[in-house]
Amino acid sequence: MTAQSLSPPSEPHSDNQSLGATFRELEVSRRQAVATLFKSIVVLAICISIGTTPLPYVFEFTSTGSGSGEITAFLGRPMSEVGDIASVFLIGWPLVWIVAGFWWFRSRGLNARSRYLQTFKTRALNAMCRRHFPTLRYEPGKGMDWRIFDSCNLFAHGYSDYYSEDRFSGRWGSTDVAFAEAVARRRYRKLTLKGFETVTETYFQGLIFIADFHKHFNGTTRLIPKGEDIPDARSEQPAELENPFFESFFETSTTDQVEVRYLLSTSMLERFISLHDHFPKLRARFHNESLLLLLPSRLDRFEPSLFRHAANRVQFDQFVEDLDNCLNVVDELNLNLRIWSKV
Amino acid sequence: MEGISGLIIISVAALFAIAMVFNRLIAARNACANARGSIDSNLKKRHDLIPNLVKLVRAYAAHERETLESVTAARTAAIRELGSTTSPLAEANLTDVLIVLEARVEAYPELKASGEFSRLARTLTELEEQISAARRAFNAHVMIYNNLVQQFPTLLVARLTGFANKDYFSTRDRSAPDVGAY
Repeated sequence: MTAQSLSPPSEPHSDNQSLGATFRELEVSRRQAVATLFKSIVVLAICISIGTTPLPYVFEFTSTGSGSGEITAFLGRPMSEVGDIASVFLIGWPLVWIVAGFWWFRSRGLNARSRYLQTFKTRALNAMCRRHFPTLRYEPGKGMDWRIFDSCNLFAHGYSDYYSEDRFSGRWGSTDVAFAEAVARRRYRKLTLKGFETVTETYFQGLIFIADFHKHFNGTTRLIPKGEDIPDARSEQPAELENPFFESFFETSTTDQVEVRYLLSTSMLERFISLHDHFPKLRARFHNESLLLLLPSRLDRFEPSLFRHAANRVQFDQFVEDLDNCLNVVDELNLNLRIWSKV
Repeated sequence: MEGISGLIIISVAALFAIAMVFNRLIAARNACANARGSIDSNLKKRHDLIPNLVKLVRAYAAHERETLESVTAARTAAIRELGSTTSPLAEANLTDVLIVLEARVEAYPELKASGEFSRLARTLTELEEQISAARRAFNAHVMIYNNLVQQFPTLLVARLTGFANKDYFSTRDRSAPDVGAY
């Protein structure tokens, strides 16, 4: 069943029935996925056993006395005669079975798991979103476009890998919003005691949050955590704002010294300090009449568990709470206040 | 001979340092003037908006003649003082009478409900915030400039070349009769 076929009927009673049917179907899928996963684990265990068990029977060993041993014969024939065949068998036999076992585990077990998670997100989370947050649209398979992350210019370096999922978009109060989870990694060469090594660093994991800002503006203003490398931007200059707490958390750069103070009014400075309490090391960019926030978080939101009942109330409430917390950013920054000419 | 060339090198270095400080002072003063220009430009926008507001309020609330006259008088004074050292005081007076007008308007729900009033009120709120932002930018630049004028060794160049302290732009400093903005 597709997400469209779950669109809520006009009456709440039918809505509940539809949701109940969805969860029943999901629970059947979940049980099938758990069974497939366990079967694939058993297959993997069998493959590992087949790959390793015959070795002591086909090879003969002699102990050297110091705890280590030496292979002397293969299928009753001395190693000097069948050395090559024995070596191929010694490495090849377990390797083939173990690779086959993992291939089975991955293609059957893990695929069944990810299929269930995807179906759950598409159907149950969409239904949750429609019921509790009707003005939002949820697209589990889509994320924030890499170009948005690439062009935000909030890091002093580029990324090597970027992945984003669980995108929500729509209107919250009077504010157009879009947000998604994202992970960005970079690989770089680092000099260590062993010489140069390639290091992979996850430098951003969290939410990318874009909101229509409630005031008109033309320039660009960026907030970078204090003490971090500031990305190059020739047209921007540093701005020192009046709030010492804010200044201790952020480096501000802007194309317009007046506009930065218009955007970051004294009350908005306080709000950013408060938001910083929830998301330390947050980054922000005011550009093109909108506010882009990079909110670091180690939480992997909107991920159901395969080992919980599909209709588990706690899990469902957690999704609602997670989404509510994301949308709190709008209230925290008071973006729904529309007393200026931008309506 | 070595003494003379050493003296020349020191003189050139001193001249270079003086020129650097002088340029920093000029840049800081220009930044102040630019920020002050931004304040004046936003104040002018507010002055231009007030006749429309007065006209609209008069149409709905004819009894508020006295308040409207005080708004008009305060606006005229603010326009006259724009750019002068007494401008902040005149603007503070104008802000005060606008607050009174806003309070009076509460008694006229029809006026408050009108789309035109809502639009004007939004624009006025926006202008007030832009004025506040420009004032904060100006004061930040004045602080940088005053630090240069008062701190050693830049104060030596500042005194030699006639750079004087600047006053902050404070619209609420009503007790100071001679509030100077620059």
